[in-house]
Amino acid sequence: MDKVEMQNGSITLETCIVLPIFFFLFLFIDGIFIIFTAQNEIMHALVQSSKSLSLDAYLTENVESAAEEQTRFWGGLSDAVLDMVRLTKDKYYTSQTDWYETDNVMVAKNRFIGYFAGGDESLAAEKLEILHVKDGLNGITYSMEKDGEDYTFTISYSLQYWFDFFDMGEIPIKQSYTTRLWK
Amino acid sequence: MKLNLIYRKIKYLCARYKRSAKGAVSILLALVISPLLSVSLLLVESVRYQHAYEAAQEVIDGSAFAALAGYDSYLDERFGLLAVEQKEEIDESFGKYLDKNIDLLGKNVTVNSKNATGKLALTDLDVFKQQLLEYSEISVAVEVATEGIDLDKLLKELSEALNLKEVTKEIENLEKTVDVAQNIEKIVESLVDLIDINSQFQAAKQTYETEYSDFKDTLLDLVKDLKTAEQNLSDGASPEDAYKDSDVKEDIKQAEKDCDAYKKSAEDLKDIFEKLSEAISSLHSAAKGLASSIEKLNTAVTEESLAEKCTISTKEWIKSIVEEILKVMDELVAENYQQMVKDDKKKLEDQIEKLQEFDDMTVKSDWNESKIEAEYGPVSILSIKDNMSEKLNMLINILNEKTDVSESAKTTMSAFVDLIGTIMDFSGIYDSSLNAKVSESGMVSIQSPDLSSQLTMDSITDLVNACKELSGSFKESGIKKLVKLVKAVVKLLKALVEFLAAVVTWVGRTLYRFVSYVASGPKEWYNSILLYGYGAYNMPNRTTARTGKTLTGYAFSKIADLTGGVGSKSLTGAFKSLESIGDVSGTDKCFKGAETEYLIVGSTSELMNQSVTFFDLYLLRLVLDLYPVLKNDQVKQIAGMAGPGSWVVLVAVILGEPLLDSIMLVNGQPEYIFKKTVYLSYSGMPNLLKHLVKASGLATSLQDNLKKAIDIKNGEPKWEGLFEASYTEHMLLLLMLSVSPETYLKRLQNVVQMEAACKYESEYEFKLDKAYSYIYSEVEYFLNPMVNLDSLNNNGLFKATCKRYCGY
Repeated sequence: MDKVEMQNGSITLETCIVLPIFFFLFLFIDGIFIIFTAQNEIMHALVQSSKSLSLDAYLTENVESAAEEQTRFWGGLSDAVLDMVRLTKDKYYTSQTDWYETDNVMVAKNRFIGYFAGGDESLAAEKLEILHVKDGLNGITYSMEKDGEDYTFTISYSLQYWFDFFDMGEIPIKQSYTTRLWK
Repeated sequence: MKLNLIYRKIKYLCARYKRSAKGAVSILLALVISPLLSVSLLLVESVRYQHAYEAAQEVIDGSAFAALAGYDSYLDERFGLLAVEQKEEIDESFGKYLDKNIDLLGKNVTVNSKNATGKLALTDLDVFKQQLLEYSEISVAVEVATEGIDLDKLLKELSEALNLKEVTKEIENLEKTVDVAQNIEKIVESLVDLIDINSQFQAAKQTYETEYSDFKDTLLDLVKDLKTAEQNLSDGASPEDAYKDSDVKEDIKQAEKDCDAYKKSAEDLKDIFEKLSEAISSLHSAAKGLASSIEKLNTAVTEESLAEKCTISTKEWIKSIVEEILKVMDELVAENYQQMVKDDKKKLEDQIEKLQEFDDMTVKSDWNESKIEAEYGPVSILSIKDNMSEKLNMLINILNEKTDVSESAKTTMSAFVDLIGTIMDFSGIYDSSLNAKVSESGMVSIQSPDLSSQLTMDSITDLVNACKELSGSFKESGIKKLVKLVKAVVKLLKALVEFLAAVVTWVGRTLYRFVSYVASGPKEWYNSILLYGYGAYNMPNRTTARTGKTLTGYAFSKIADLTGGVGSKSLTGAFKSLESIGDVSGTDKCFKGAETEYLIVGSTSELMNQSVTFFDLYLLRLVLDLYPVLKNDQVKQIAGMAGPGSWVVLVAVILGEPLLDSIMLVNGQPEYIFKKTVYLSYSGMPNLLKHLVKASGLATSLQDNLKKAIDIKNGEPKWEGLFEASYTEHMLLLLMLSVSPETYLKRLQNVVQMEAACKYESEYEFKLDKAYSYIYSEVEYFLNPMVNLDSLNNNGLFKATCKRYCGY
């Protein structure tokens, strides 16, 4: 009779101890999954935007644009027509400037937003928040490095664990992609 | 019972070891978590693998894309073609970018092997054509639009011009006229023979009468001597003894001699008479036959064109000649002519027989002059009229009048003959400074040049010579003039038929592609303009080699710089010596500036290409100018001034107008494709003289001859037409109409190969079959697990191979 009374509540106690461990374990695994997803999505946007940026030079070199730093005027009727057409295109997918001569990083940022969120900055910020990138769009830093005709685009950001379990902190990530300008 | 017992025993055993329920949940969870966790981690791992796989493909694609970025800038700038540059190996370039970018995947992937090769070089005709069309889609289309060319209208007008229905009809008319003219030529020759035979007949008749006269005198002497001999005969002597008298014997001897001569002259007369009567009868029947066949010819033409007008006037002229001949022959030939000829012939034969029978004792002493006349008098030939010679001379005079022309007509003819001569002496079919002879070894593929148009040159030369003969024949006089004139007309008509037939053949053989445009409709026409427009607008030709540029702004002068530069323009090369220019190859590395001409002809000699292209251009202009020339009222008016020599004017304008057009075109002056005003007219002459100022390669006598031929005061200056086109646009037309797409593309490939090889000569050996438009990459890699246990495996668990094509 005494042994049975002493066992009341033991399962509850065990459950209270073990279940949270089990629960947090799965949360941890889920968090890893989100990290992979974030890295991949950002990597994909980086690769696509780098490819797109590399093509800019081909059109810019063949068209003398009024927006170019060095020329500031059209070379002919076809240049004017092409320039006008480019004006109607989204700044997130094309650029009229010879940014590669002036290392204009904003162009890289815009291109990244274009391929990451279809050119919608608010959507990009929202997505980055879902992916737990620290400070969202503002938390991403862009840099370019030139080596002859090769350009290396680097994105640096920090990922926060989606469940900040015991204040785990951030995971700093740096992704680089090297491409060649079509020049 | 037993079961019950076993159950109780088991329960007892369990109860012995069961102390409490403590730790049950842990055990349960431990048992449940392990598989659950495994499955979860497996799922995460599979997602990671999937991500890594996709990312690897993306990185490999991107690396190939980066390798493609190393495109050949010269091919792009000069030709608008994209191919990987040959300075660096594709494998090395791809490997470099892959090595740099694979770090993006971290430790997820380990590359085992990588390989990249070029595919689909520009020597592949489909690839080459596709790139050309993509380049031309905008550039050529914009160029054609800015030139304001209505393509549908151009096709429609070309189909009318190149149909040549009227030319074929004209050839048929001319062939009938040639038949008639050849018959009149035979008639005129027969007339000349008749006149000749008649004069022989008259001479033979004269001889016949003379011989008779001698014979008669001899016989009279014989009669006289016989009478004397008979008087001196002794009584009792036989009358036959009189013939033994020496004087009589002398006379008999002489009489026999004269009889033989008389008999011979009679025989000669008979032979000539037979020939003469035969000639008269055949000439009469030929003239009658020709007169009726001329009537039957279809003369229901309305004189719309100059050629028809000339044809009608020639037929009328022939008809009037035949009528005059027939009139005289009708007078000379009686109704029962054949019977009379028979009778006359019989009479002559009888006389010859009688003369044959003449012997010592034929003549008697009682003969007198009338007896001699009755026995041996000359036969009167009734079938041949006595005034035949006069009639024939009168006929010649009448025919001379009909073939006579006024001085102004002679002047006009002479001026146009001189004009043809000067034009044919034109020297400028090629620019001698563009004289490269390229080596076949520097080409991608070798095709035989198209030289078929040279054959037409013979017919032009014959035509020009025939015109000169016709003009020259009017300067003769008498029967010679008639004969020469008729022969010249026949020769000219035959040469014109051959020439027009050669032109029709040339159109059918050289401009054969036109048939497919008409058959398949506008779509193929538009596509062809894009395809051939690339060559016409982006390759230099003899007029743009120094100052022109491609549609994207690449200056053609840079091409000449590749070969060491080209001198200043020097138009030379005689039009009439076209056939003598040969197809030769040499050691030059590329052409100096006449590349469009190479696309048309395909010879390794730049001079040959220019010459044959000039001639093709000339023939194209000739075909396009035929209607404007033949229908032009002012040209008809000018031709009318030349009278029967209107053919000379027709030929001069048909030959001269396209040559003047071609001269202007090669000197940079645009011309209307379909002219409404012709240069060789009152309205067109002022423009011609103005344009000639800019032309070179022409003798200074040309301007003088032009002014002599056409008086510009008679007309108001005008210059009208459809589709003003430069030499470049004419080259486009020639390309579209005469060169098959396959041949054209192969020749373009040769041009690209030669130029690029020259450009990169000091750096490396450029080969078009290494100008790849696609990169094929093959990468083998391992997908690594999240936790890599080196002791368990050297590589990842899964191996994947990525094969990608990436191209322009």
